[in-house]
Order: sequence, then C-alpha cells, then structure tokens
Amino acid sequence: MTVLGDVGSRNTDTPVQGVVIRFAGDSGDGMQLTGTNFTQATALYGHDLATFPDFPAEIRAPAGATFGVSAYQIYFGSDDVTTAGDELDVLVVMNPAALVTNLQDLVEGGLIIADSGAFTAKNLTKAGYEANPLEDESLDGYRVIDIDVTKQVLEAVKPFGLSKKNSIRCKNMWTLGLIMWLFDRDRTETINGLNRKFAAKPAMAEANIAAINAGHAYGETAELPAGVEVYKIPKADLPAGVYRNVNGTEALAWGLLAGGQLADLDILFASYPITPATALLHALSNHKEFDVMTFQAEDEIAAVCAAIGASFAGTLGVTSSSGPGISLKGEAISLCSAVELPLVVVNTQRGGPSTGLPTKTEQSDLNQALFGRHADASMPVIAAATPADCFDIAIEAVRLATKYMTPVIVLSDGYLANASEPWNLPDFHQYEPFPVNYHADAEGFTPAKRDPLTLARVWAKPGTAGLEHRIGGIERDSETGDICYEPANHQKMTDIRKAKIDGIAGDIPAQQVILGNPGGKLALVGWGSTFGPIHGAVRRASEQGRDVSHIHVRYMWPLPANLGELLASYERVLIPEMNTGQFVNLVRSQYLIDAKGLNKVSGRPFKISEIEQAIESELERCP
Amino acid sequence: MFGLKADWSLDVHERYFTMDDYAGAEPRWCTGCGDLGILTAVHRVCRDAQVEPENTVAVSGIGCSSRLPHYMKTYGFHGLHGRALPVACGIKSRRPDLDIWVATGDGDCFSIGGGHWIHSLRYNMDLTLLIFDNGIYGLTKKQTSPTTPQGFHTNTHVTGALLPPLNPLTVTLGVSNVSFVAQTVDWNAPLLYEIINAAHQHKGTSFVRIVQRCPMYMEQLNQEMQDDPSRMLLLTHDKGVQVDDAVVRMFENHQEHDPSDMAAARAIAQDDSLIPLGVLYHDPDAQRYDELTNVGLNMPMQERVQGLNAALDKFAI
Ligand SMILES: Cc1ncc(C[n+]2csc(CCOP(=O)(O)OP(=O)(O)O)c2C)c(N)n1
Ligand code: SF4
Ligand SMILES: [Mg+2]
Repeated sequence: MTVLGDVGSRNTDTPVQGVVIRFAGDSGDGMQLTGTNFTQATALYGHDLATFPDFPAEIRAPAGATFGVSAYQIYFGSDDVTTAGDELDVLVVMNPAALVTNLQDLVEGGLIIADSGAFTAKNLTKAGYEANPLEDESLDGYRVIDIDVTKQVLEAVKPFGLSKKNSIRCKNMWTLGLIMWLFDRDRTETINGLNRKFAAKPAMAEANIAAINAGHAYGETAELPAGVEVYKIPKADLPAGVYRNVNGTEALAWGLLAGGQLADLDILFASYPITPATALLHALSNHKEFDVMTFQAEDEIAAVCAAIGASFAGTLGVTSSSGPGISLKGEAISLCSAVELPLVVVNTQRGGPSTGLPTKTEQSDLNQALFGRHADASMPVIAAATPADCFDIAIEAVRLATKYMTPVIVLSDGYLANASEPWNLPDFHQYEPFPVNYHADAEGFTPAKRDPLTLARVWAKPGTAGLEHRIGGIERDSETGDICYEPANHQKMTDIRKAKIDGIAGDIPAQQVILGNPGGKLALVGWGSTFGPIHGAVRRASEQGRDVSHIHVRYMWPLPANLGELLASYERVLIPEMNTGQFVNLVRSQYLIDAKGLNKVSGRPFKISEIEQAIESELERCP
Repeated sequence: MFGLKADWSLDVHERYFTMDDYAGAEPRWCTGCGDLGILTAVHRVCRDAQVEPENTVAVSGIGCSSRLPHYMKTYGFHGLHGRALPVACGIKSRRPDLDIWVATGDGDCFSIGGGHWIHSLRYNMDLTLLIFDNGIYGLTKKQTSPTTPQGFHTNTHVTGALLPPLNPLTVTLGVSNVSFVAQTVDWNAPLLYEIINAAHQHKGTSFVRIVQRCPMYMEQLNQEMQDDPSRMLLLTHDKGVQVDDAVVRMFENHQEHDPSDMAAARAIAQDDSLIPLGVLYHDPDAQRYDELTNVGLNMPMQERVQGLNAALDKFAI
C-alpha cells in the first residue's frame, strides 16, 4: 500500500495506488453516512475497496466523549485490496475526542482534516487535552487542514430556513463534499440518494446537497497546505461484471434466499435482536418476494424452536444470533441433531464473554460451535472468509442442512457483518439446484428410514397421508423410530449420527492453497474474517521471496479430508485467529502437528503488518 | 361415514375417521392418571371434527403430559421442556393449513415455559393449547410446581410449599389480545369434551387449563377435590359451552357468565374461593399473528422481480 505521505514527499513518478481514510466523530456526527456515501462514490469510480465501520457500544454517548467516537474506515485504490488498511493516510476528525482516539493510527506526514469549530475548551477537556492541538506544535509531524466546518455549514444552508440543529446536522455532508473533491469523486449518486431520502422534506434535501457542494467548492477555492490537491488514483483492474457493494450481512441474506430457491423451500427466519447479528434480521424482514417469513420471537430459545417447528412442517428454519444468544439456543440445537431436521444457525460473533464488546469483532465462538452443546451432537460448522463469501457460505449451509437433515452452524463475525466490498454478482444459473425430495411412499415407511449413502433421515412433511409419525428428543429405535431406551440401540444411533456428519467430509471440496505452494517452509492457516490481513501479509512476504503459503479453511467441521496431509507438508504452520487459540487446538488434536497460534483479541481485526512480522519471526525459526 | 348437510341431503365422506384413526401407541401413564381421560377427549374431538390425521399435528414439551403426541396417530413433535409453544408457532407460521394441538404441563407451561406462555397468548396463532395441571412435577417425581397448593409437601419443599400458588387464569386473562380462556377438570368427561371441543373450534390460541389428577403424587388432594363438587363453580351461558342437565346438576354452584365480558371473567378468575369451570373468555375477532405474517406472500412473478431489483439497487455501484 502506498500512503499519501509518499505524495507528500512530492515524488510524482510513483502515483498513489491506494489510500486509507478514516472518518471519526461523535455518534451523532453522521460519520457512518459520510463513509457509506464516500464508499459508493468510490465503487462507482472503479476502485477496489474494503471498509471497516467501527461503532461504539453506546447509541448516543454524551457529545465530545472519547467512548462515543464512531469511525468508518475505507481503503480504496487500484491495488488488490484485502483489508481496510493498517494505517491511515487521511484522518477526518469532527472533534478532539475523535483526534485523540485515532491519531495513533495515522502515518507520519499523514493528513488530518479537523473541524476546528468543535475544538472548544469543553470538548478539549473531555478529550483530555490541556492545550488545543490544532494550535500548538503537537501535530507538526502531520499536515493539518483545520476548518470551522460548523460555521461553513451554517453559511451554506442558510437559504433553506432549517433549525440550527438541523443545519448543523449537515456537517457530515459538507465534509463528504470536501473529501470527494480531494479524491475526484462524482457527487451525482449521493445527491440522487439525498433527493430520494428526503423526498418528503425537500428543504432538508436541498440543504444537504448545498452542504456537499459547499464542501467541494471549499476544496477548489481555499488555500490548502502545500501539496494537498486533487489526487487521481488509477482505477483498479477488477474483472468485468455487474458489481454490487455488499457487506457480509447483506451477502448472507442473499445467500439464504438463494439457498432457499435452490432447495425449492420457503424459509422461516426466526431471530431475536442482538448486536451485531440483528442486521441480518433487518435485511430479511423485507423480502416477501422470496416468500421468506421473518419472526422476531420473544427470545432466542423461542426463535430456534420456531425455526425447528418450521423445518418439521416441511419448510426451512433459519435462526441467528451472536454468542450469548447461541448459548441460549444450545439445547434446541442438540434437539435438532437428535430429531434430524434441517436447520441453519448463523452466529455473527462478537467480543466476549457475556456482553463483552458487543460492537467489536472476535472469533471466539469456534469452540462453542464445535463443542458447546450437551451430548454427542456433532454438526457441520462452516465459516465465511470475506463479506462476499457470506453468499456462498449461506447457500452451502442450506445445501448441507437439507441434504443431511442436520443443523448447520454458519460462523460470521462483527467485522464481516459490517465490512463491505465490491461483489461481482454471480451468474445464478451456474449454481446447481438441490431441490428437496420429501419422502412420499407410505409403503414400509418409518421416520427412522435413511438414505443409505448420506445416512440422512427421511423428511416426511405433515399433510402427507400415510406418513403420520412422531419425532422427539427421546432416543428412537434405529429401525422403527419409536421411543427406545435399549443400550445397544443408543450406541447404534450415536454411531449413525456421528457417521452421518463425518461422511460430509467426502461431499465438500478438498482444501486448496490460496496463495503459495502445496508444501514448503511455512503455511499460514486462517479461517473466517482473518482472510484479508492474512492474504495481504502472505502476498507481501511472497513478493519479497519468502516461502510462505496461505491456506484458508471454510469447513471447520467436518474438516476437509486432505487438510491433515496438506498441513503436514509444511515445516511450520502458523494459525492467526482472533481468540486465544481455538482452531489451533483443533488442528493440533486432529492431526498431531505442531501448529502455532498467533492470537489477538482486541476487538479489532489483524493488521497486515502484524501478520507480516509473525511470518518473519516464524521463518527465522525454520531450520 | 355419512353426515347430514344443511339441506338435509346426505353428505358421503370419502374417508371417515374413527377414534382409532387418531389413537397412537398404548399410553404409559399410571393407572388412574387424569391424562388418560384428556387423551380420550382429544381423540373424540378429532373424530367429531373429522380433520384428517395427516393434517393434524400434536406438539408437546417434556413431562408426563407431554407424552401425548406419542399416543396420537397424527403427526407429532415431542420437543424440549417448556418449549412446545414456540415449536407450534413455527409450524403454524409456515403451515396455516395444519390443525395444531399443544399439550403441556403446569411446570412446562407456567414455570420453564412462562415467557412463551405469555407471548404465545398474545400472538394468538390458531392453536389448541391444553395445560395438564396436576399441581406438581410428575415426571421428575414430586417437586413443587408453580400451582402446587401452599403447604403441600413435596420433595423440594419438605415442610410444605411456601408460597400461595400461581393463578394461571388471572395471568392469562391479563395478556393483551388473549382470545379464548377456559377451565375444566379431567374427571368430568362430558364437560371436558365440550370445553376441548369449543377450544378446538375457536380460531386463535385457545387456552384450556385442565385440573388434572395425579394419583401417584397428589392422591389425597385430588380425591378431596373430586369428592367435593361444592368447591366448583359451573359457568353457564348461551355463548359458553352447553352440557346436559345431568351434568349441570353435578355442580351445586352455577353462574351465568357472558364469555365476551372480560371484566367479569377477571373477577371470576380472581376469586380463589371457588374453581370456575367453563369458558371464562372468548373473543373470536382477536388479531392473529399467523394470519398477519402470511399477508403478502406468494407475490406474482412481476412483483417479485420488481422487489428483487429494488433490493439489489440499494447496493448498486
Ligand atoms: C431443560 C430441562 N430442565 C429440566 C428437565 C426435567 N424435567 C422434565 S419434566 C419436568 C417437570 C414436569 O412437570 P410438568 O410440566 O408439570 O409435567 P407433568 O410431568 O406434571 O405432566 C422437569 C423439571 C428437562 N427435561 N429439561
Ligand atoms: S406421575 Fe402423575 S401425572 Fe405422571 S403419569 Fe403418573 S399419575 Fe399421571
Ligand atoms: Mg405437572
């Protein structure tokens, strides 16, 4: 990644390839909106990009508080972008609290754009500043544009007769206008969007548009520090196609809908709000065109039970939550493994334990997904690697759940859920349909009947005459499906349930090496949202001639059949994950190889540089 | 096999179901257990309604009473302790065509399933909800339940239950959008049948609390209650259930009660001195969540495509 600092040195021979900007301000400053609008304009420009919205846990913390800072980071450019960026080239701060909490991530020589109007004595004190950093020499290592945005905005929106409060709320659009000028973005789509959003309040639309235009005009006309001018970054070399800018939540929602279509099943999506999983419930709540029904149940237990009921009824039950809610669902998920009905359970992981860091990301529910239920209740666990991958993972979850009559756990996390990237819309006809075959033949029917190949129990749906049957949590006879407490039968049923899940290893793709060679000195093995930083780090290290490969696991259980052999072909294996070492333990216990962990639980994703350093020190240890 | 149509012509059913067509495995309840009579009443109601067994689903939680689905020859789901209602709500949401029975105990419904009880009443999906209230945890062997009488000795309160019991009727009648509330005893077969039948005919969640005998753990208490009908109050009204005079004469206390009168229903429920039997409350017009959420499904193709495009355009770049 080239930083803007390079431009600062006025080396015009190497054009800027990529830029990282972070917008930071009070929750009420509308930084998420600034960020998403800038992202849309950036995608339209033809840049590759990755974003990282970072919310505080408080909805509206007191103005000016450091714990109330909301930030939105975007990395864009002509590079193959894999993360939202390690360090910032540009930091936009709407108050002192935003400056003090984000400055450490800005590169030396980076650009600060600050709303000096918000650097009042009161706000400075709240942020712990004794003197105004915009006025002393503490920011000398950076380039600073300080503008009284509030004053500028009030001026710009004066003609529209808004209240002072509503006028000041246009600050985020003024700032957006300035940044759009700086990076040569087109304002048209944002303006169209504002006209749509405020269709009923034309004065608001006009004021916001005037604010954007004023910010833009300010860039064009004002005296800015030396070297700050419009940056024209070459377009990214993305494959041709129709793109949509999606975050993991939206892609997951589309994937579930697509899975339902491919299985020819209607869906009941039953859930209970919890950050950061709620957004999926929001996303699906408005899709009646796909015959998806959402049910906001009274609690997580009711949600999973309703989903199981829907599957018993012959439709597909899907439920979702984050770690604490998944704990509540545990008993019912084991029940579902016992009654052998399809169910998709989505866990958007967050920092824990308990309420932990509800708005931050972590991968610490892998053990819960694999082992966190009563009894021998094994089930497939699959994990999405990137926001766009959430689409395919969701389809795969529906396929496995219906083909094997089992609950399937999908792991996402707070980062994937909120981060967005351009998604090349797939040609849906390339997806092989997997329509469900309900059992229909009353001859010799018992609910214990299985497909001899997959070991999946039959699915007989209510309404089918002759197939009336009862299922439940009590152990059932392996032949008749009637309640049965016989010791030998329980052994047999446990063995069958295990064999059914183990057998899925033969129905999933072999583990590939994404970057590097199959075998060699060092393999970095990741899963879930660490894809971006691991990929970026391995790419940089390989470019420098290091013998290192990137392997990314999507099937956490059962593991791909060739994974053990593949990992054994490296001298060293390093597993970065955002927990204290859950996958590394699984790999060690499954394959008896001396894999090492690289662990981080700060609520933030890995930086590429952190993984690069770990690669270097791992390689040093190679004989 | 035959039924009479309104115009007195003969209606020949293609399939006629007898009680045997609804009767599943041999019940394994204790001899004299009140659950047996309730099961028979359910079989009778099914037979009289002639709902196809394949379109009937019995859902339950865990407890002695929750074994009911196994004793039906319909579809059945025997799930988790306390969670029968959410499972039933899930089934009903996606399959409004199915006729759903929910069997649950006093521990199952009022204790571990307390939250679902309240919220399911408000959802008011079309379910027939039977609470087998024996005032004790039967299956786990005599622990105090929310409806165990104060002072009754159990294995968890060896000197007697400490608190006055929960009143399920006042709680139920306190829930917004509740639509059918009735109470009966398992040992009066005609009344039991009529009440379950009325509950089954009601479109919405019909809550029926059945005071149920557990000779295993509550023998003396149950016997005293059974032997003393003066502790009961029979509710009568045109809009309630109709029973033979012979049945009416079994009870010395009667009260005319209009089931559409919520205030009166609450007053009756509140009075602990007598056990009211009959329909306390009935509102056939309460809103049903299962109906409301099914609105707008099955759009024509053109609208689907429009919806899809509009949704995708939100993320257009
Ligand atoms: C999660 C869970 N907790 C506890 C139990 C144990 N348990 C089974 S039935 C029951 C109580 C049953 O009482 P009730 O609902 O009144 O039914 P009855 O047996 O009296 O018909 C309990 C505590 C269980 N099966 N599951
Ligand atoms: S313990 Fe009581 S409720 Fe359970 S079957 Fe026996 S008599 Fe019936
Ligand atoms: Mg009981």
